[in-house]
Amino acid sequence: MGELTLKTGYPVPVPEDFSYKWALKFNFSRKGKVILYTGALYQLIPYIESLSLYLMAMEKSDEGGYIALKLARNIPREIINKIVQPDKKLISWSYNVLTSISNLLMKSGIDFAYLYENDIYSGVLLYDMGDENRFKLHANKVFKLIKQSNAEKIITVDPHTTNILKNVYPKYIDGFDIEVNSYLELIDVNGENKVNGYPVVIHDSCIYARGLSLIDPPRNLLSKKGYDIKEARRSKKITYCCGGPIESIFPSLSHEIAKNRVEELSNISSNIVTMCPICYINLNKIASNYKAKVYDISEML
Amino acid sequence: MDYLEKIIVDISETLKNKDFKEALESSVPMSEKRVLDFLNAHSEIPKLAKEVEEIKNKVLSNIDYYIDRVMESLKFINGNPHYAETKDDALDLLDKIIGEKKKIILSKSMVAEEVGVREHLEEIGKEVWETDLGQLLIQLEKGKPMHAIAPAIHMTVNDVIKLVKSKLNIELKGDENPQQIVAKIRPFLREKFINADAGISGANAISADSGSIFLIENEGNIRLVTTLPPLHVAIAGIEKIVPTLLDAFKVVLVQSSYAGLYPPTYVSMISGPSSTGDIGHRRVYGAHGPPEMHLILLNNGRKQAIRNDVLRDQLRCIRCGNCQIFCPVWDITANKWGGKVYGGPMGVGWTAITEGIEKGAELSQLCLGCMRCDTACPVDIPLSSLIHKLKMSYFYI
Repeated sequence: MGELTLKTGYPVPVPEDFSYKWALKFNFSRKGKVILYTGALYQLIPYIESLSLYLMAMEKSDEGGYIALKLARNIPREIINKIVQPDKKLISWSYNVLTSISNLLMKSGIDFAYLYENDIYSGVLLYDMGDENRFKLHANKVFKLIKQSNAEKIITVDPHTTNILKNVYPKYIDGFDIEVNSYLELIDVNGENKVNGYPVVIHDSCIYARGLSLIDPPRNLLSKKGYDIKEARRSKKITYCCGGPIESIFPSLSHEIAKNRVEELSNISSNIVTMCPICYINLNKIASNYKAKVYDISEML
Repeated sequence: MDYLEKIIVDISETLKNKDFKEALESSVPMSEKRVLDFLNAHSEIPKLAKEVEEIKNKVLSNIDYYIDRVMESLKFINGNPHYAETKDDALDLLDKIIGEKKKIILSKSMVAEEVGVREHLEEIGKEVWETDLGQLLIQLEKGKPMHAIAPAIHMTVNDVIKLVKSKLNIELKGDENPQQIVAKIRPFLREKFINADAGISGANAISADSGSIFLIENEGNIRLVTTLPPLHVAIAGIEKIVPTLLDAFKVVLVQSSYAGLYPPTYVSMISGPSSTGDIGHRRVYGAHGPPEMHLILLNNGRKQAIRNDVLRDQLRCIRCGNCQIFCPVWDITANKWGGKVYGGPMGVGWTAITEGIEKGAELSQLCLGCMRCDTACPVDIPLSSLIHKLKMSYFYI
């Protein structure tokens, strides 16, 4: 995975235009002081998910599931290319989320540029998995690309990318001087198309809530829009993990953690609001078993 | 099969165990809420925890000095201090202290687990009984404690009935409630308490200025283990040392609070052997409690960890087990994840200290990085970043 990230910028095989295809319909400027940097995490989800489903199938394929899993992880790239068959619905979901976020930013009067083909992956999985050397090389490459756009401020769209840029990049990149904010801290919603007391339960992202103390903005936005926010006991600073981060190493354990969380949330409301693509996909997989529906917050706003 | 592989295979088996799941689900969320509610109502405890954090840092910065102080203080009150560099040294010391004594009772101690005290004594032909009810169940199951404070947290009432019936030959019909089960085990253990030749305990805190050890519990077994037999041996890690007796009391208050056991039913402070000066105005030993008391201070990687930037913080741990209850992985695996002895987020660090960085690094692979444990720790151990640093070392070992 590390090799692949360094070579192509992505941890799984992906088509060339996959990260910016959603933005072709917009005519964003490519340079500016403020840029929207997605870090391609939303766009990667359909591809990672496809690989995860394969790993999970491998794990379940025999008694010593982990052995099969281990073999599956070491399969050559040409075979991975065949395995990774992203769900088209999931691709269009990720494009819709990014479109919604762009519209929300524009409606809030925020002027921003977009990197298009240079909107590459942040390297967050490399860091999370502990591959520090490759992460450092990759992060410096990303920083260079961002700097070429004259950026002074970056708008991010997911918690992992926000955290890695805000809290980790400065430790690995000499002279990192860019201000980083999640779009949730910047946008505002007006009173248009208000929903009247539609009940939702918020699933805070661990990274937003504990790593970045970003807790109030999603609540303020949802409540301005007219949603009736229900809180789970384990929310805000003590929000509970979706299980996603260990999906590739131990799919069935990850699945059990997601089950625990969906069970808790669906007891509060059947409409679960997430703000991270990893949380979305991990909870969404089993939500239907609990008659619940999972949304990305941008779709709700 | 490598270490991580074995753990994953073991957890995969556990995931199929419905009783294990049911037992954890029926206790863990409640435990978490109980601690949080308690802390919200007692703002003095987090403040005390902050003090404990500083107390622990102070000792870690000067550990050799404080070890010497404990040795001097305990000798002064006629106790017998010992220092063990390794687990084997601890067992050798224990063999010498116990000698020919045959019947040994233990109170629950994670360091005794770390050293393998029970297994060793059984191997050399002693009759050994755990007296903490949860730990007795672990002994009968031949397993490992599944939580730092509640070792049998993974067992349902039915599991316990089956185990006690088959291993202790105690008559149980199968529909007994916990109260009835406890009443049946009580006379069985009572006989072990009375006839024991030696009692072995751990220590929750040790005060350097007085040579006292502090022990907290709810059952009352620790009081019996440390006072009824003619010999008491305490075994503890060097990180349990704090400068003063008052500091030690702060540690046990914080530990019991974050373990959800406030107020602890019993706090024992033991300063050397039992004595009396009532007859002839001369101090003599062994009035009602043991005339002989020993303390084995164990290093086993701890001093090396003090010098290690990644692991040092883990040594502040007071083993309340709150990080375990808070961890989404632990909520499902209990101590099946975290190491051979310890478990959960703190277990990863402790395994790295006591069994080597490599093992800690392999265990770190199953951490979600969700940082929930960081919010649970009373002494501010940066558990998630410690584990993340171990993940980094996994790549380059």
